[in-house]
Amino acid sequence: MRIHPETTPEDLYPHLRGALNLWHSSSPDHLLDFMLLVRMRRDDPAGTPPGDPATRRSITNAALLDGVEELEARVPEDAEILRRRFIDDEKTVKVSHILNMSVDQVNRRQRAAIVSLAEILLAREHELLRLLTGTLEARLPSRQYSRLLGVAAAVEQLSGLLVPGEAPWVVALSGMGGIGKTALAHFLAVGALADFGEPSIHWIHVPSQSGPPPDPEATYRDILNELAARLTGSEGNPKARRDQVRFILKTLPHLVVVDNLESDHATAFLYEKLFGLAKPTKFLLTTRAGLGGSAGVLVHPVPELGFEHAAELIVDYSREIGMGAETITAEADLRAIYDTAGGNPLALKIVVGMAGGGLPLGVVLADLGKRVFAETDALYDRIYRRAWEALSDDARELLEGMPLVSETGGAPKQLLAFSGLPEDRFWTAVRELLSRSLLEVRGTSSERRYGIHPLTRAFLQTQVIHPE
Amino acid sequence: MTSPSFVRRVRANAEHLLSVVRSVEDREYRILDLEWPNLLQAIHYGLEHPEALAETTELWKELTGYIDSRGFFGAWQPVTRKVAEKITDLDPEQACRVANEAGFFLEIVRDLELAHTMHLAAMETAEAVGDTFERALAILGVGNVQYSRRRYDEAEANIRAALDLLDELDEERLRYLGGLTLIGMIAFDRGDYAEAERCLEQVARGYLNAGHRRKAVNAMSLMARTQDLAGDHHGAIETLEAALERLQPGIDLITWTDVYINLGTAHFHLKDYASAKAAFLAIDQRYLEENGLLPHLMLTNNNLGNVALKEQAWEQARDYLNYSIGLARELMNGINLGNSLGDLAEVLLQLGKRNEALAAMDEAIHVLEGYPENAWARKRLAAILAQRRDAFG
Repeated sequence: MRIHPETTPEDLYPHLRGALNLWHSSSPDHLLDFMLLVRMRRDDPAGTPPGDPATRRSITNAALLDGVEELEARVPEDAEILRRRFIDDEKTVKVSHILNMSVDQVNRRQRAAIVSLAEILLAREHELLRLLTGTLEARLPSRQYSRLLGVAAAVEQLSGLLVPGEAPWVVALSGMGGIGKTALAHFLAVGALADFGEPSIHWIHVPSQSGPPPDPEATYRDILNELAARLTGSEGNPKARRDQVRFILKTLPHLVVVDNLESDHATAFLYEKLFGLAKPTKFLLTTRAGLGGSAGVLVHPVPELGFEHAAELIVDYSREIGMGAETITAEADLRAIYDTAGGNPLALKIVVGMAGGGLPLGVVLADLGKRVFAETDALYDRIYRRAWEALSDDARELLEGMPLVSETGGAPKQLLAFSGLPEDRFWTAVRELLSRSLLEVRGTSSERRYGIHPLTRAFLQTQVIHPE
Repeated sequence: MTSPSFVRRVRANAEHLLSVVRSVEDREYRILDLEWPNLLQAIHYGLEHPEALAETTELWKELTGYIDSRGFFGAWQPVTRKVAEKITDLDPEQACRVANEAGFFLEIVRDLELAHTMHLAAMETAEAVGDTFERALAILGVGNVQYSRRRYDEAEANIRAALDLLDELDEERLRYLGGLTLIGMIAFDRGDYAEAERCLEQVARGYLNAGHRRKAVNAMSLMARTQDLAGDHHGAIETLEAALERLQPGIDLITWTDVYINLGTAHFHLKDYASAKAAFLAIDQRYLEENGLLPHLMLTNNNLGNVALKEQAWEQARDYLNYSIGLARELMNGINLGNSLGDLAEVLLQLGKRNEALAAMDEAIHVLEGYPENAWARKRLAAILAQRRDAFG
């Protein structure tokens, strides 16, 4: 059993009934291990039950009793039936005599009481999940999506795979830049909270670097060091702490997300290394490498959006950038954009951004030409090229220098300095680039920094800074 | 072909970051921590474009104080090697300054061959342009490399020659004090602790008077090590505590680590193993490893191994010492290798592994016999020989 937002009290009923029946037993059955309410009480968020069966039963009972107490405040008679029948272990006949009811009435009332108890416990479970989601999200990179489009099937399939206890142990989301791998991984990590528990979910971002690609061995060591900082005490040398991490991951189930692998070489290397650390721990990777998996690795290609979802994104985004009456909603326009730009969310936003910047949509699309499916890279080059040409001079002055800024983003003063723009024109250029999805906000609200997407960086490097 | 406007931006970016670095005092280094990836990026691009080389190397040079404080040596070494490749593209006056600075940094990371080459190049250029100060620094740098190679006589001769030149110039007291530190270290290695302490005390005072807090603390830390080895353990602890008062926790990371290694060692010599262990455990080993500060990592683990040995935690002692030995081999640091092997032999004897203990002792003896000029190596060799006689006859 897994609890999700659509779980009903009726779904929970047989499990609660089973648990109440075993109130006085030390049976390992019906311990409600799937409920965070129970696991948090055991200080066992990852769902590996510690302690002897009697202790575990008493913890499950305590969670149930809390619910019965709340029920008592709402419907005292229902609570009394549950107390007498299960906690005091009185027979139905005796309860019917005491409460002056028939046996059938007691049975019907008892069923209704358990459903009410299920309602109470479900509400508490969702509240706990909401609190823990907040705690988890504070540790994850900030959410870059308001809603995820076109990934319902992927979420359904992958969330079923990201549960403790069964293969696959390493899952890789692969796809080109801008396609939404990180957003999907973020969504899946938050969704795995109930299964793994907040403290057992870890997010490791592998930074992109200028210059020669980093040694995959060093990347692997950095991943272990990051985990060591979370999972081990401060004693011991780095090697000993890495050994400790290996032991912990091989003993207790964790979910480790490794985000932003770039090269085929690094990805292949990490497939193998992380597989060695997996089981019961699971790894979820995002990678731009177009590799198949190695043994035991499930590679899930993140596809482009289909037309319907692309259309939703176009409408949403054209509203978001303030196109007002010009908001793109006409089916023919939506279809024309999709036929031209395909289903890469970033590319779609850039095209919409061009239209939002004042260019007639027809002109934008005519310039980009018809999409040829085998030539995805060439298409993005054309989109970027056209977006570049449609920018004001000031925006170009600023954007050209952006590869000088690292992935962590640059402070406005740095951008001002290399753009050479006076301050008022600089901010206009910033706004223009933000509305075209060519600049991204980094840092915090009190200390804004700006950066660019890796696809934008690649375009600038190859087409603007070093044109052939 | 790079777009000319982009090259202009590379220069403007380097100039801007240079002004940021220059405006930051060492107490505010956290500001630079935030900019660190952008600084590396700026240097990476700047070194690719000859038009931006002057600003970029200036930025690189300006960052050496920050690097020295934070100990980000692992990331800085490849950058410095790239800078070293570009020396000939700079104008001669800047070239000798940059070559000397690169040489001093490369010595710290034990890239001795290239460090030596840099100082020789600086010497030649400085002579050609008549820059006595940079020539003196180049001679000092050569002496520094010779010291690292334990060629003490040659090192001392060069360092003293450099000090004479610097003394005549009387324009840059800091470099003079840096040279005097080396004289103190040579005396230390030779076992002349009184002379070492005298030099280092003079250096510490000089730096304090000039307002160079961190450099003063470095000298105090070295002075304490001298006091400790001379048997004045309480004096060493006093010096180190005074040093710690002048340090900024979380800022002067590498100096702080040095002080804690020496503090733990002095406590260890006083048989206060709990305090020694607390000092060694306070050292952030992940920071050391990530920044390539392997000598510090090696010493920390050797020392923790020794504490565990005294606590009779044999398995733990073996793990720490084996890690330290691995690092000493990687660093080709014979004296520390011999030292840790001797300690490991003692642990192995306690674990009843006599054959392995004998092999470790024999290797330690063989290695330490290669350093007859180093007082501490001689002392450790004598102790291990005695240990071998006791255990194996």
